[in-house]
Amino acid sequence: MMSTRRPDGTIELLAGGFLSRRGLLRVGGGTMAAAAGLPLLTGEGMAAALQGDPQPGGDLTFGLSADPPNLDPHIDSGAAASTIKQLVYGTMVRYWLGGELQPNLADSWEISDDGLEYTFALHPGVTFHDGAPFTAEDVKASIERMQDGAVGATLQVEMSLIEEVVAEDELTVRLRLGQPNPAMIEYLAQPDAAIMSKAFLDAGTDPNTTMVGTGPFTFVSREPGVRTELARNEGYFREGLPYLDRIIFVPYTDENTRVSALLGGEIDVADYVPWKDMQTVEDDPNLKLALGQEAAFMCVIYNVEEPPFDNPLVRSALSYAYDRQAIVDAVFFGRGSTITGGLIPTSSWAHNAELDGTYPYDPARAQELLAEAGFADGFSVTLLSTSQYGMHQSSAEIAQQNLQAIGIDCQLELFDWSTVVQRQTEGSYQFRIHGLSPELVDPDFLTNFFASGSAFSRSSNFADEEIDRLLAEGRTTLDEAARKEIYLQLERRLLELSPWSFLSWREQGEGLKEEIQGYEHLPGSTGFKSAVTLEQAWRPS
Amino acid sequence: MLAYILRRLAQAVVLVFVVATLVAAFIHLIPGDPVYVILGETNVTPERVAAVRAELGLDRPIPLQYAEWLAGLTRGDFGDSLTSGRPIGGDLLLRLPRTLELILVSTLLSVVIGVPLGVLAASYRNRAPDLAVSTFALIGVSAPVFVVGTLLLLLFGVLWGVLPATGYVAFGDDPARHLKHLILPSVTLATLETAIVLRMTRSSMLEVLAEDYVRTARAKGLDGRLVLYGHALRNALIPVLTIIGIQIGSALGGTVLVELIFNWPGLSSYLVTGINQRDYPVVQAVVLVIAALFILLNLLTDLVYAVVDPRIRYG
Repeated sequence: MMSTRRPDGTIELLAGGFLSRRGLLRVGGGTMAAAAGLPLLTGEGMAAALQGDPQPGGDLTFGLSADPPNLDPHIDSGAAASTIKQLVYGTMVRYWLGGELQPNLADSWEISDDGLEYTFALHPGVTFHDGAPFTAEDVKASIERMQDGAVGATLQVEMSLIEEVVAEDELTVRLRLGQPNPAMIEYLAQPDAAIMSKAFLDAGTDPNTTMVGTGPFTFVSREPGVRTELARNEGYFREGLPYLDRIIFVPYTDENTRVSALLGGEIDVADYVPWKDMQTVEDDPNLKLALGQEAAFMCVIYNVEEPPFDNPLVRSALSYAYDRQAIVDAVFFGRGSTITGGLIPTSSWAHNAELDGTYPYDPARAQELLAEAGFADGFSVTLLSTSQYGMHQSSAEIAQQNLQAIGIDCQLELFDWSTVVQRQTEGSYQFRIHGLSPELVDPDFLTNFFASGSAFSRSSNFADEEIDRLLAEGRTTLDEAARKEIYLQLERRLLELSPWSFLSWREQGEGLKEEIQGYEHLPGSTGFKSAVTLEQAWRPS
Repeated sequence: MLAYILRRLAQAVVLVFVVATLVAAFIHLIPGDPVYVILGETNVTPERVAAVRAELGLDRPIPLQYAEWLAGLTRGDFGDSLTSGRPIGGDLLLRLPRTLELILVSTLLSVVIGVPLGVLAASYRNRAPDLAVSTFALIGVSAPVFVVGTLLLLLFGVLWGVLPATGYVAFGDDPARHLKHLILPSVTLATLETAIVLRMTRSSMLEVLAEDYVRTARAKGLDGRLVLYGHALRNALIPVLTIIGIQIGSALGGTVLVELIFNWPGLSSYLVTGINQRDYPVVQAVVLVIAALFILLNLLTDLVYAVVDPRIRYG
């Protein structure tokens, strides 16, 4: 497979590209991808482009839903922390407007026909914030750091698929995989796959206290719980960018306080706008909402060793019992959609439309199946959830009512988040409500959730040979049509076994001042990576 | 006097130690595990959990961890945060003054407003000014901090936009903006304090005004104002002082909500984050500081009695 650079700067991967439904991956730069993309702000962004040229200068205050617990770019510590890390560090490839992959530190790459060798041509003239030049050695050092078990990198498993990293010359790096993996490029686009400086790592500087990357903004200072300040990287390799002089991140952990600060004008951007406040933000003439669909989903996860959930028929019965529309309406104020079929989102080439409607809200059918499973008189169970996040608690309450309506005695256990994390990790629960987001656009995101041995499967004791086989087949098959067939079988099997009940997708949005231009919310689950577009954000002076 | 102070300080050290130990025990008793918080959920493996636990020293017996932490205290070392890895002492130094500032300003407000209004109410007993002031006091005492705070924030911060709704600016960065940000949280915190000080001043004044010596002072023809402030108020102040002392202590608790509502990066928000993340050394350190402050405040209050009332002597 070859990639070529086109005169307009976009890149095409030719021949049977298994990364895209068009059999041709356009890794776009600039507005071409924006026009093709889904973000709701695109129209406004284009209107702004017509209004005038971007103006450099100015500060931006960003209200974050959490204070980053650490600064190490290889260790994921939540979406809020990632927002900051993405602006300081760079990845080989990145998600850009429309959720498309865009070359970043790597200008282009070639993938061998067997899908095992990736050769990257690195962008020349890139420097780290400390002035050191960016070379193939930095890529090698970064990937090897992520593979090192002692580091605890979030992508350790994924990076360990790479058997060898060879720095062929200053600007060429070759990765060799043990087996083909269609999601490899996407792994390298994750913010957690940041490229760090070899010199910085060798010097033994603690990456938790300072940050040295190649991104559009440099790290200035940080006081935990108060603020993290970034400044314009004057030596950024994309000339003329970024526009903003400074970005000041202020943690606002309480969602109501965050919205108040936005409404009061104290902050320019707020992430994680609560669904109850989205209308208020939209109606405010000084504010706008950057919104994306199918960003994350709510689900019920069963501990499949705990009776009665060791019986697939019972789990399947319960999948009919949840009133998904009620959850979308009551918890997300209508800003979401129900999932009655598989988990692969509707925007994906691999979405299985024929499975939609498998689990409609049908309490009568649920009771039938329960009777068939020998539980005509119901049973007593305890549902684990957290009182710390409203969407979890409210979804759990609706689920509880739904189950009581079909004769199941369902008790709620509501703890703070730390306790819930402990209980679920140790597997001490019967079933639980969860909110998650696919890490990848590629359907291989399912591996993380359902492969036996994954963290989720371990904590719910789920393992199924056929699912494992299909997941492995899905990630080693290169032909897209063949992959689609595999994922159809896989999702059919998942729905039949129902280790999880999928409930609903939710929208995700940031609120920002009307005057801020250039910021875009990326579609789907890439919405959590929207902060990269702050690179092209500007405000009229 | 000095011996008394030393004795009280020695008691304080013991008391602080007891409180700190109890809290350390309780925080370990509640479920949840800092290692899981640090690792998140997607990539937890038993090996990694064990590695992080060992790295943080959490695999050792809790009494041993606690003893080592105490040993560190004697060297002025509060330990490192489990989640951020930062030295806790440094963060305490940053955050403590902000919380103290809130408490001091709100206490000052409550005295400056509460005492004169209380005197006013007492001297116009059961007449219009008394009624107005007492109504205000009743509302102030009844309204919970989060209601007052949210209301003030909504009115002044969001609807009228005259004051910053939330946040903090360091005094060194911009003194004017610092003071602007200070107004809403300290007024919120002061509302309850003012009401309590006011009510206490009023009732204490009423009691004193009924005393014989006040009647005598009036009878010998002293100016009414001199009687009120010179004779009555001075004696009426002792219970008010006690209340202020207690109020400062409970304001330490009130700041938990106020700092949350106004995103004020003080000690309380540090404590809440510490509890949520099961950051044991952070919780221990903050509680230790708060307990020490509380006990110190009580001692100070007792000493101030002697200044106000020469009849009180400590020996």
